[in-house]
Amino acid sequence: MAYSFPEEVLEHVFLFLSSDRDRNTFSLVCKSWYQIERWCHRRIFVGNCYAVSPEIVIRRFSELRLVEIKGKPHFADFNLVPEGWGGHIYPWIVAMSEAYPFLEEIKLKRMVVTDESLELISKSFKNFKALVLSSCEGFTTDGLASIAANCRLVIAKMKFPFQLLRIGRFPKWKVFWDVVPAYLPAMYSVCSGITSLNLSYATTQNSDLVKLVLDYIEDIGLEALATSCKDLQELRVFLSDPFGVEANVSLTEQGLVSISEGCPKLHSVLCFYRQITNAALIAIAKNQPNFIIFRLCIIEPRAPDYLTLEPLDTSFGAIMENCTQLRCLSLNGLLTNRVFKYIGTHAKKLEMLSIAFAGDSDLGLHHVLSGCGSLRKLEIRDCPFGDEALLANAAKLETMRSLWMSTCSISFGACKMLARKMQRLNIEVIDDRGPPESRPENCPVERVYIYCTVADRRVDMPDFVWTMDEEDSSSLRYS
Amino acid sequence: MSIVKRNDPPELEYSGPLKTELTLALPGGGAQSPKPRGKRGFSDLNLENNSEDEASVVTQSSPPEGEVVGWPPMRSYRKKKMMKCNKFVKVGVDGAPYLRKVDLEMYSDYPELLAAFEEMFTCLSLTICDTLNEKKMMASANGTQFVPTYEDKEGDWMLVGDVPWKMFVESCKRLRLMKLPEAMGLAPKTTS
Repeated sequence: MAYSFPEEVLEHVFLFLSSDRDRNTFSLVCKSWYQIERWCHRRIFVGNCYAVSPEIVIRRFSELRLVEIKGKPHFADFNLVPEGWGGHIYPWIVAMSEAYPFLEEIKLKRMVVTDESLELISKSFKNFKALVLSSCEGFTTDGLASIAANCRLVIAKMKFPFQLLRIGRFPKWKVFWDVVPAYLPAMYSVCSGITSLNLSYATTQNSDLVKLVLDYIEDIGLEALATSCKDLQELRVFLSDPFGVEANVSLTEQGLVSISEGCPKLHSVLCFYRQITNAALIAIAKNQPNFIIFRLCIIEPRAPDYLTLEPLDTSFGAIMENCTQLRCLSLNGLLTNRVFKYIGTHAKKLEMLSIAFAGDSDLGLHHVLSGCGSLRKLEIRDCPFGDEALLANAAKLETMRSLWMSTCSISFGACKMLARKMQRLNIEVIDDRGPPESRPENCPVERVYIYCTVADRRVDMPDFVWTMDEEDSSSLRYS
Repeated sequence: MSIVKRNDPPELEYSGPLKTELTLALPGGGAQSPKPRGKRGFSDLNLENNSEDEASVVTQSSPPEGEVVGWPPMRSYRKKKMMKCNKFVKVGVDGAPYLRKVDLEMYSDYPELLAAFEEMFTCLSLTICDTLNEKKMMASANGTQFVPTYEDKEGDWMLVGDVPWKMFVESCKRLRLMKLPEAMGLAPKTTS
C-alpha cells in the first residue's frame, strides 16, 4: 500500500485479535503487518512441542506473556506411547528464561516436567502468575515447593488424581482440581492450606449444571438428568465395571438416548458402553444435530449392534450426516470401510478423529485422508490400514498436526518412502524390537508417529525411536 | 460374531537382534503382536471368532479380557478404580476411641500411607517424625511415639516399612499404631 495507518494504530487494532488463526492470516498480508503482529503477539499455543523449536519461536515473537505447549500424542493417556518417548519441557524453559523475563503463564499438557524445570521457572520470571500442568509427569512436591517459595501468587491446575502427588501446604495457592468424587474426602483433609477449590464435577440436583462427569450411573439416573438439567452441555459417563462379565448395572444406550432427547444444549459427549444398537445411535444423531464432540467407546473391540449383529456403520453414518458441526469423533465397535466413506463424505468440519479396531482395508484410511478437509489430528490403533493409503495421501499429512498409527500395517519401507517424499514431516518409528533396518523392509512397524515440523531433527530420542531421514533413506538416531 | 469379509493377511516372519515372535497376521487385524515396553501386548487374534481361524497362532495364551494394552481408552487411575481394586483394612491407634479403615489401594507408597494416618487421627494430632535410623514413626502432640505395625496373613505383627509396598499391600490384614512409652526403651532414639 502506498499509504497506510501508522503502526501504532495497526498495533492497537491487532490487540483485538484473539484468535491465532486471524493473527496468522494478518501476518501474511505484507511485511509490515507481519512485523507489527509479531511485536504485539502475547500468547502462543504450540500443539506439538516438536513441531517447532524454542529458538524459532523466540526469533519471531519477542514479547510473549503466555506460552501453551503440548507434548506427547493423545494415545499416551492410554499407555500406548512407551515411557521415555519425549516431550521434555526443560529446553523450552531454558530458552524462555532468557528470552521472556516477563512471562506470566505457562500451560503444559502431556509433557515431562522435572523439578529442575520447575525450579528454573520459579527463578526466571518475576511476574509469573499461573502454571497449568495437565497430564504431565516427572515432578515432585519439591519442584512445586520451589514454585511456591519463589512466586508470589500461582494458580496451579493439575488434572490428575492428587494421590499421585503428595501435596504439602501451599498457603498462597488457588488450586483447581479435575477429580473424581471418590477422592474428595481424602483430598480435603490433605490440602488444608489451599485457599480455594474449584471442582469440575457437580451433583445431579444442580440445574445450572453444565459439565458432568459420572462414574456410576444407570439409565434411571440419566433419565433424571435429562428432565432436570436442561442446560447440560458436556457429559462424560464412565462404566463402573468395564471388565465384569455380568452387566448388573442397568446402564444401557437408552439412558443416552434420553439425554439426547432432554438436553438440547448438549454438545460434548464421552461415554463408555458395553454394547449399543444402531437404532439408539441413529436416534441420538437425530435428536442432537449440535454435537461438536462425540466420543463413544464400546468396551468390546469390534462389537456389533447387539440386537441385529450388524456393523455400526449406518449409525455412525447418521451421526456424520446430522451433526454437521462435529469436530471431534472417536470410533470403535464393528465397523467396515463403509463408515469411513460416510466420514470422508460428510465430516467436513472434523478436526480430530480417533479410530480403534475398525475397517477392512486401506480404502478406509483413504476415505478419511482424502475426504476430511479439516482434519488435524488422526490417531489409529489396531486397524488393517497399510502403505497404499498413506503414500497416496502423503500431501494431506502436511496439512495436519499429526498422525499416529499403532498395530496397523505400515511397513518400514513406506516410512522411508514417505520421508523422502515429504520434507516437512518428521516420521518417527517407535519400535521395541530394535532398529527397523534389522528387519525386512516390508515388515510392519509397531508404531509410527508422523507430524509436521519446521524444527530440526529431534536430539532427545530414546533408543526405541527412529526418525526417517529423507536424504540417505536410512533411519537416524541422534544420541 | 464378525460377518465382514476381510483381506487375507500376509504371513510375517522376521528375525532380529531382539527376541521375536512368530505370528500370523489376522484377517483384518493388526499385522503382528507388538510388545510394548513392560506391558503385555495383545494381538487381535483372540478377538476373532474362535471357529474362524484354526491356524491362528499366538505365542502366549490368550490374555483374559481387559488386557488389551490401552483399552478401554481411559486413564489408568480410572481403570484401576473401576477394576474395584479395593483393599480396606482396619487401622487402630493405641489410645484412640475408635478404629478407622483405609483402602490400601489408594496409596502408592509408605509415606502416603503415613500421611493418611496423620489426617485420620486428628484427635491425637499425630505427625510423622524422622528418627535416627529412619524407621517411619509417628508422634502425638504430647510426645508419645507410635510405631506403625501390621498383621500379616500368617497372623504375625510386623513393623511397617520393611518389605516393598506392593508386597505389604498384598499381605496386610490390619494395621495398628502401637504406643511405645519411652520407658520401654524399644523405640529408637529421636533427635529432639
